[in-house]
Amino acid sequence: MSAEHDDLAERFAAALKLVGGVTVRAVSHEAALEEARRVCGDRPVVVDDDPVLSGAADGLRTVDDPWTAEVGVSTARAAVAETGSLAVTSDAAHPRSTSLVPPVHVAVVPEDRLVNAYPDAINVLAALNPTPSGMSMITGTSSTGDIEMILVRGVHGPQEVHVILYPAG
Amino acid sequence: MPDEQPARAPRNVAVFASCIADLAAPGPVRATVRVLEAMGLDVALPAGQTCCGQPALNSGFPGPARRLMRHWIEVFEPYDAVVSPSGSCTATVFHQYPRVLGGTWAARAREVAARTYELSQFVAAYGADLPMRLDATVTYHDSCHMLRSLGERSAPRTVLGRVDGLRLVEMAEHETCCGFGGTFAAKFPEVSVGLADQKIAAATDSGAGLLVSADPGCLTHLTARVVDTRGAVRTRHIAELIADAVEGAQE
Amino acid sequence: MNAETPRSAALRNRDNVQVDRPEWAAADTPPHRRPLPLVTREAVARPQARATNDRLIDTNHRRNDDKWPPHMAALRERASVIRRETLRDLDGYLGQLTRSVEAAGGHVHRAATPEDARRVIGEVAAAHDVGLVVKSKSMVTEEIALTPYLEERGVEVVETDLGEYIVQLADERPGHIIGPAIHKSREDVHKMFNELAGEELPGRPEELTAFARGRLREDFHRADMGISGVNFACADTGTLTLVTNEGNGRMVTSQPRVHVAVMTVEKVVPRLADLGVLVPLLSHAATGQKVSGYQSMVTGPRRPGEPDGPDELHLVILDNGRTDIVGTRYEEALACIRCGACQIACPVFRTLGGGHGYDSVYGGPIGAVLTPLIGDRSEGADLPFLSSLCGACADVCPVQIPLPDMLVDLRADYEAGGGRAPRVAWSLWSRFWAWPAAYRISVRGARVAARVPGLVRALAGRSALGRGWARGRALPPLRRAGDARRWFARRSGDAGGRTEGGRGER
Repeated sequence: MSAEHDDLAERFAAALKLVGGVTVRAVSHEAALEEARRVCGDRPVVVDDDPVLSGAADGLRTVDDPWTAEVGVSTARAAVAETGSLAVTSDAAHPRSTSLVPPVHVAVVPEDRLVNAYPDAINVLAALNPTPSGMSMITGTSSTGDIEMILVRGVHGPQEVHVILYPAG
Repeated sequence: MPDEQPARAPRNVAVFASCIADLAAPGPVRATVRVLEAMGLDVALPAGQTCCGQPALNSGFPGPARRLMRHWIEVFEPYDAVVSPSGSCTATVFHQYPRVLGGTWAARAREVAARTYELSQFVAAYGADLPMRLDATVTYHDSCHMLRSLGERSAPRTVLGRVDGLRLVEMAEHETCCGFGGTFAAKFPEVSVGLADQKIAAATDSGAGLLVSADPGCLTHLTARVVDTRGAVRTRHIAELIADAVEGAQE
Repeated sequence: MNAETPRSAALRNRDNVQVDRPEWAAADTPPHRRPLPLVTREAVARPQARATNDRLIDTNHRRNDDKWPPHMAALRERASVIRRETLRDLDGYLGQLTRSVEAAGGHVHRAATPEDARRVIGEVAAAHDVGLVVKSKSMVTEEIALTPYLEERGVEVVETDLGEYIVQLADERPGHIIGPAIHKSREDVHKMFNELAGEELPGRPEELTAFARGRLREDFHRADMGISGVNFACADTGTLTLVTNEGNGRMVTSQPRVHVAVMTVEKVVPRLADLGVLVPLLSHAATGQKVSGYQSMVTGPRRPGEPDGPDELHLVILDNGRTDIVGTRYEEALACIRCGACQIACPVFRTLGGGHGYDSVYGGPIGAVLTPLIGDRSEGADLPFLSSLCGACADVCPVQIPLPDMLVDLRADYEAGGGRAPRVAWSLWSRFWAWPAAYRISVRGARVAARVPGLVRALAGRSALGRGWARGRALPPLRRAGDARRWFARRSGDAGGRTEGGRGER
């Protein structure tokens, strides 16, 4: 674990906490997947088909329709230390719905994808060729201030966001 | 230029009264003259001065406004410095003249504007030695044009802070508009009066007996509202307050 | 439309909601049916106005005090440059955007007028047999009055942003660019939701939000078409970016089979990478967040093999007179990123109890500038006068639009196109007052008039401005007009100051 990643991960966790999310730092990839499974428990889940998540679904109650899932498990292209943001992209193996439709979103992210600031993550996305059809920057849980400008967390997007970081390599 | 030698005041100073003070607020003009004289300056009140043109400009008539702007420049150009009890008119000279006038007039405007001051700015810059004493608790309303077009937030507070015995309490929303806004006050009276009521309530709640500002426009509007509602707050122009304080130190 | 067409769950029993709003706050009221001074008078007098004002004052402090610390000021400078750079070659960037969106498989429609935009969207809806539309908040769809148009064609349209949903139920226009229900209290919302539910619901903001969430969730799942606005359209990649907090923007752009995005021409930005500057700046200016919850970045429809996303993406680019502003002194008004900070900062907006008092789609300082410039330039021409020119808007604007100066200049445009009488009057006035002797005569005249009992009041009553002043205010003390000059002239005889004419004396 590099000192740089360590610093970024700690800052990420602090920033995410401020916007309603939870960060867990796992000691290994396997431990990260174990933590993801623990969060899912026996709830119906959708899990993206991604090398980072290979084996994650083992023993979980996976469903096909995200609208019937209670947890969506994805990874992220980048995670922003300064803001607690995740950069998520969609393609055939990564549906838009995983990080959106189920009320709980779990993201498993290797620490070498941590970047310092928001523009760094935008640059990661801008460098993708071709540009994915769906990209999202996700910062914390969904929220609104539309009633008397009082902050309420948990609206249309997920009400819980869990980010599980693990040392890369 | 005053900027290069901030300690030494310009000698030959003209007072620009403003039309609203000429019409409805002679006190601040007299007070401005007295204060400048107490600073040992040679003070003129040029008889040829009229209005800075702001009423026409903000009503949508820049042509007529330019005519008055050019006149204003001609009247005040000969002086080392111009001092006014109106923050709003000073801001008009500073911000609108170069913007609205073209060509050489804009250049001339910039030159005079560089030595044009609202009174508290002038006193803050050159009146550090001026003895002032007044037992009063006051609250200060930042007039919008002075605050934002002129960018002047600190000078009035600096000057008030130099007055022995004076206590400044900041009211809530001291940087919020009082609702005057020239013809706006008459075109949308309910909005204008609504803003005045908020300002008056904030001043009352501050506990200060005296609502002070550097703009005859704001004060004419606020006073007219206080009189109409038989309110308890008293209003006072900062020039008059400073003049009182200078006199208070002489006693 | 076929029989199985889904109907909105969120709007079920909508008719049970009692509508209680003035005509000028209605969803589909054409602007300026009544004189603006009358509307503002009624707006200030509404009981809700004061409570809204109090909340907005509080919000203003939270969001706008110390608005530009050094790192944000730097971002503001960069964004100002990006926005102006875009406007310098607006046509070029729009062409590039069109090619990029089409290359990604999207359809692009340029609409010169609101009618054009409505027609295109109506045709897309008809072609796809659309019965239910979920919509994320978008001011341009308000500008083109899209919802009533689609409803007339049998399409149900559900606003999914919580604030928009609230004002839709209340049959009102949004009261603020990003806070549509800014003028509603929690009690107002509670009452409406109770009527909708037909039962007494718990009334805390969290509980009211949960109720709306439950109702809207079903519609996201079943809607045929999603309609969204666009915050930033990136020309280089064709990426349409929506900035939201609730997640409805993501739902609307990803779940229905058709996505229609509507933008005005100035929403284009040169590069996807510009989002690194613009999104944090917009978030800061709009809500004080480091970054808003979600940025949905849509580049074309779903691609082969992708399990979700729309089958078709349509981008409607509305002009409505905007390209005519480019190259004029008002060009910078198009730099606006619709954060709504100028509205919150504006004491007139707050005292009116929100944007409805402007009687136009866009209220507040940016609305008073933009409204007279767009469309056929017939609506809202007098809006620039609804400002005390206090300048608070310019202080908070994230792209440094000189709004107060524009308001002053727009007033001149208004009067230049107006009646001859005021022009003649102001011209005479300025000739008179540029002549010192005549100025002094008018000051003396005021003094004399003030000493005739009742005369000033009578004169004031004969002019609109005088009558306006007299509403709630005592007359100014003109009795002492000219006193300072007399005093100065008198004493300069004995000692002290000089009296002199100066060069202006003629």
